[in-house]
Amino acid sequence: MKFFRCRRKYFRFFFSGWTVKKRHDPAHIFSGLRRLLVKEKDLLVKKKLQESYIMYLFVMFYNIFFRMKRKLIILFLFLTGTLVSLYPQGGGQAAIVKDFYIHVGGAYATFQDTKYSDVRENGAGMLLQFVYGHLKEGKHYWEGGFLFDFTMNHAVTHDEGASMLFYPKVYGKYLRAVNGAFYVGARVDLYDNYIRVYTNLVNNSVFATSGSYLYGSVLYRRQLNDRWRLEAGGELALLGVQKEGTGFAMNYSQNRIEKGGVDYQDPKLGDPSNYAYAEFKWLGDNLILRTEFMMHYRKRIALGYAWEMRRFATVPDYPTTWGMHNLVFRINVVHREK
Amino acid sequence: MKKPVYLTMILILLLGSACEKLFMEPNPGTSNIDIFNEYATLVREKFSMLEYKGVDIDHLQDSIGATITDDLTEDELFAKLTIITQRLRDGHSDLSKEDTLFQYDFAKGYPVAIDRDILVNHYIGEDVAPDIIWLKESDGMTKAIYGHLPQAPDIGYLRVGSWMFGFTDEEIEKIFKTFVNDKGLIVDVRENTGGDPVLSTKFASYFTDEEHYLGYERFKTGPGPDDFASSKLYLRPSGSAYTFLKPVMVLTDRYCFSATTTFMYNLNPLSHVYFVGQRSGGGAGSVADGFLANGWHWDLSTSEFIDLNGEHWDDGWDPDFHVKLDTTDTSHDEILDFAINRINEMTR
Repeated sequence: MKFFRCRRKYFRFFFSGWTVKKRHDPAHIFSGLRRLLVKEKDLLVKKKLQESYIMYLFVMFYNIFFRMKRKLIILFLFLTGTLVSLYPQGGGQAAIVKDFYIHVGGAYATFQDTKYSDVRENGAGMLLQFVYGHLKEGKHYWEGGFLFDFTMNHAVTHDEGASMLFYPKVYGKYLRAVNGAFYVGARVDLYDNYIRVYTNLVNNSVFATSGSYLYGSVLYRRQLNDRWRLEAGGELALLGVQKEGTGFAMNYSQNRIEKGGVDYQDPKLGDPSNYAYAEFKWLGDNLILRTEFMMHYRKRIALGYAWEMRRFATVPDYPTTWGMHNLVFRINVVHREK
Repeated sequence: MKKPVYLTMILILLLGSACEKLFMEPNPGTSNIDIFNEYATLVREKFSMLEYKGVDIDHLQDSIGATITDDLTEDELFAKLTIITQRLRDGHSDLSKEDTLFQYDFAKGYPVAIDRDILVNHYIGEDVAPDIIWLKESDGMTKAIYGHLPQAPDIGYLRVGSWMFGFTDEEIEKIFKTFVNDKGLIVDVRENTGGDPVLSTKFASYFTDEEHYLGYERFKTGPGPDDFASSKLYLRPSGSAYTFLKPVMVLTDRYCFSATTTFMYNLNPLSHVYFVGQRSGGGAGSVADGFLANGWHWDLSTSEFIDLNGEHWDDGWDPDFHVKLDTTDTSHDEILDFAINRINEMTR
């Protein structure tokens, strides 16, 4: 009885709404319901009013999205589209940038092979690098290139043992955008050949390590303003194949000596650039780290710093460690955007 | 991601760069005792014949080390280190500084076994043997002499004075093509102190048409006294059409060393090859070299060869026929004459 009483009480309210234009306005009905809800002390009735309140919220939103006027719809869509296009991930049309560039610069090398001596070696020289890069903003980036480091080196504690370092690499890299600024991917060094030639040594006059490696690679790109852009990246070798041409006893691969594979009629054994008898290396065996920082100016030139470090031990407790530091000046020979 | 996070990550990346020296060992000391201990450690860890040569390196290090003081001059310190070098009794192991080389004299006490004047004036000179070919390097150094002696036109003669020269495959083929119709061959490697064992093995491969087991070479693979690995060595034929399987006399003297010993142990199992002359110098192992922290250069034997009969070759190898050179007779090379006569007898 009480329920029907409340229904009669409010039926007139709802019914009366049909005859007055203002009463078609859902906001008016909504506010009316709120006033009734506040005043009603009968719990049962209040509960029914709450249910009606919820129903009318639903109806109100329904009216907003499906029954409001055209101008409001257009305004709503415009605002939505603008917000989506401002969000960096996946929105809008990505620019494509193609670069062919040259890196020139200085190189500083450090080296230590504890199989033979704890004396460190340092030296300075030059870098030359040719790269082709392809960027789709916010999507992916790939590049391929050739680089060559050359340094003249000397031992830290004495004047003998001068050496020359030749360090060519051929590589390719592919990164995908995580968001507009961060890219993650992989790099493959197809050919990596580190060769030191000592002028005053005989049987150990050549230290050579050759290999191919797979790296995990990250890149961060940020346009600072109209003229300057920052790029910073890092790489870590995950796995690869490597041949170190200097064993504990002589200039043959340690693994080949340990396996009893020395053969003076095998031309591959003593060849420092040959991958024969290379062995599989993963992160735990072979630590290779790289970082690179570049400041680009107006898409034509850039100045930066690159560093590589490598550490491995073909003989336990007798590691070989080297580092390469490059101060790099970049020239975009070809730069195309579309 | 917010700007401060980006900058923090870049800063971490930047600070983490250029730190490879943190992973390196510190530079060794260069005091007198540091240099001495460095050399003694190298000998202990790398020299492959401590047991064969009967060297107690621990005793040497302790006894000599007790006399090393900071007051020693450079020459005095060098003299101390060379006591160890001398004790190794190995022609491959030496120590040098600036213009001073200390090396074990493995030929000491052995008479001369070759006289180049006798050879040139009576056997291989242009005046007496115009058909003999002197194969030279681009700088004029003679790398091989081959052809036929006036004393034995049907016996080939090949002299290789060093295995340090480079020979192309075509040059080697041409050399052995010269001897294809000869009834025997004399290979003169006297005073050949070595060079590239790959080259000497290549020449040896022209004297067989089947594979032969030679023995094994023990290499030092780590610092411990028992850290060795053995490689079995085989001589495989060159496959050349000019393989020489008729009697061969190899002339040797005490200066036949290193890669020449490699040449000899490759030929030793072959039944048609004989050694004539003097006991060779040995030096059958491989050599590593480097610098001490003060720049002194060291060489050490890091392997040794043991043949299929268990014989060590590092102290030299006796020839099949011991023949001495009569230095009072300046018109004959007795060792060469013996080889010629022996081939004639074998092929009569």
